[in-house]
Amino acid sequence: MDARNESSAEERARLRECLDDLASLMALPAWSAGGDPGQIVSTLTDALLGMLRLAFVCVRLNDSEGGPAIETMRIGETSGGTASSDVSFASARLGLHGELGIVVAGSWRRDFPADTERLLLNVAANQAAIGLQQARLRGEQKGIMDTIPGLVAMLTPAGEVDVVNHELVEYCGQGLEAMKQWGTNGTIHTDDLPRVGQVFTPAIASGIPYDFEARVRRFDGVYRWCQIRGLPHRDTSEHIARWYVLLTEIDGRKRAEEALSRARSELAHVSRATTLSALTASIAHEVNQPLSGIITNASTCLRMLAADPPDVDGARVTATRTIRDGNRASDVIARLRELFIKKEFTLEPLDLNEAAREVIALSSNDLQRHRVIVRSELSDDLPFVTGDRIQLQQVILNLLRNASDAMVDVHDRPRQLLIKTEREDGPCVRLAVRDAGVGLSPRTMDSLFEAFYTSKSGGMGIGLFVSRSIVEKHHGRLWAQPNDGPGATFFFSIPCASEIVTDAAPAVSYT
Amino acid sequence: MIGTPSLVSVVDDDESVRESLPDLIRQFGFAVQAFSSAEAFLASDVLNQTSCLLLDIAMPGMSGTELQEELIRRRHAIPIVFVTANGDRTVRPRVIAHGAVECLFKPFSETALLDAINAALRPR
Repeated sequence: MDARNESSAEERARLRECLDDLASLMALPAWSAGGDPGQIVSTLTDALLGMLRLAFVCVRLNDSEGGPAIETMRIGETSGGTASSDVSFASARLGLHGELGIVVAGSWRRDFPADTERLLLNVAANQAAIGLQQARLRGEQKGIMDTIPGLVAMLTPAGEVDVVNHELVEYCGQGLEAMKQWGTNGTIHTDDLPRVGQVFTPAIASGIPYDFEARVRRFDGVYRWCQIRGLPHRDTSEHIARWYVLLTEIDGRKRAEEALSRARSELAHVSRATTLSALTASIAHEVNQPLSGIITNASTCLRMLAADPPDVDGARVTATRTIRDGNRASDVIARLRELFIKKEFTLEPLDLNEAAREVIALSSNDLQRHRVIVRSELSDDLPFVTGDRIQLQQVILNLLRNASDAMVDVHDRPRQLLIKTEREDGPCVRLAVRDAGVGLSPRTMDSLFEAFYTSKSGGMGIGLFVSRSIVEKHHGRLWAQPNDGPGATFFFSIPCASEIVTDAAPAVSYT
Repeated sequence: MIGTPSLVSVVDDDESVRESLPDLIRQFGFAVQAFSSAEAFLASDVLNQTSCLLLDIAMPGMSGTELQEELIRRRHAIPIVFVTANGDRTVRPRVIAHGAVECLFKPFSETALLDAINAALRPR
């Protein structure tokens, strides 16, 4: 092996080593992950000492706000007996004009720095400068964020917590590192996490601003309701550079809202209960009065007949009174029925599909709020019926509400509601409302249409009773049947227009 | 019941009650007077002769319980049996606490009525 070959082999090895060093320099995590300046400096000195086998390395870091510079000195290999005057130096600027500082490297080798060593030194200094710039920028951002009188955080494009402002640290009583673990360390209330995940994860993935409410643990361990809003900040190429997050404590408002809604529902319940109890009392009074008369008169009648001699005339008078009181009781019931049904109604030819569509449109807000999915199958060739539009719409509305109410506790399947119209043999028109709710038990079926029967905590129990009365007034019928699957279907059918309008002109009123 | 039968007064705004109840009470063997209002009873001359007052609670004008208070105020210790068609059972302990003998809820049996009147007539 001649000397030339030997030297070129050595040269190749040196170049390979340099390339390896370059590659590992670029890959050092401290640059890109945005570490603090101290971390960057120590990464820089470690790398240089190791790669260049230096006697020492010195870094002078200028203060961004004009304060005193910070100097760091690291000693590497010992001289091995050589005098200190034999040290060779090389330096590199930190920053384009050295505004960030300078790095000075010293070696016992007289031929230091070789060209590859100078290259490594410059690349390392450049990488460090980029890291320092970023750290300085983040420091400035953090400084700005700290001056904001609110709870502010900054996230990486991937949604990880990157910077939290002073106020947020104080509020939560935990630092940045703990805040990074907000998804697992109880910073957000466990009960709220699934819901938060449903909003947060897709928002980060798609870059859409998010806004949710969750309970956040305060420094004292108490969870308070916060509104959490995140907005992506895009760079010039429209890529998300970071997310800005603002937390607003809304605990007071939230609690007031809860109290208000509780008070409202209690009030509604009380007023319904009051109405019901007042109604019951007045019905009881009206019915008990003639019943009492019947018993008193019958008792008197028996006594008169049992007397010696029997008082037949007196008995006749009291027996007549018994009949009168019986009729009176029956009148009370009749009046009660009228109380619930509008006496006068207006007959007109009407399209049941249109009436149904109007009701669906009117209640769509309500149904949406209860997460009910409404599907309608309205028959195309539906003949007109003759009826009171308002009253029939009341019936449809009542059936829709019942269907929606029956699905309030359904969470494991879609809350589907089907409203369907079709022509029936007869000839009649039939409307069906099918729900996927709790369904009907045989016991329920029996009492379903009775006045004051209800399975709902808030119901008066007159809805179906009144609905059936209305349908019967239209010479139709209203019935229910349990579905094959979950839920129940309510039907009503009324005769087509030609069936009941014989001699009456459209739009007549009768009582 | 020898001599003059005890007088039972009935105060009720319902005409059918004023018709039927006195007949039954008469069958029991008592004398009866019926009044359509508390005011009419107070203005009558039977106040001092009445041994038992059958009194409706809910009436237009002065109510049964107001008449009870008025009688206490006037120191007329007439034993009172209240009669009500209202289903509210909480009125019973209240009127009894104020000295009523009994409170009957319509519809009531003739036995219940006779027992109540007899209890009112028993010397206390």
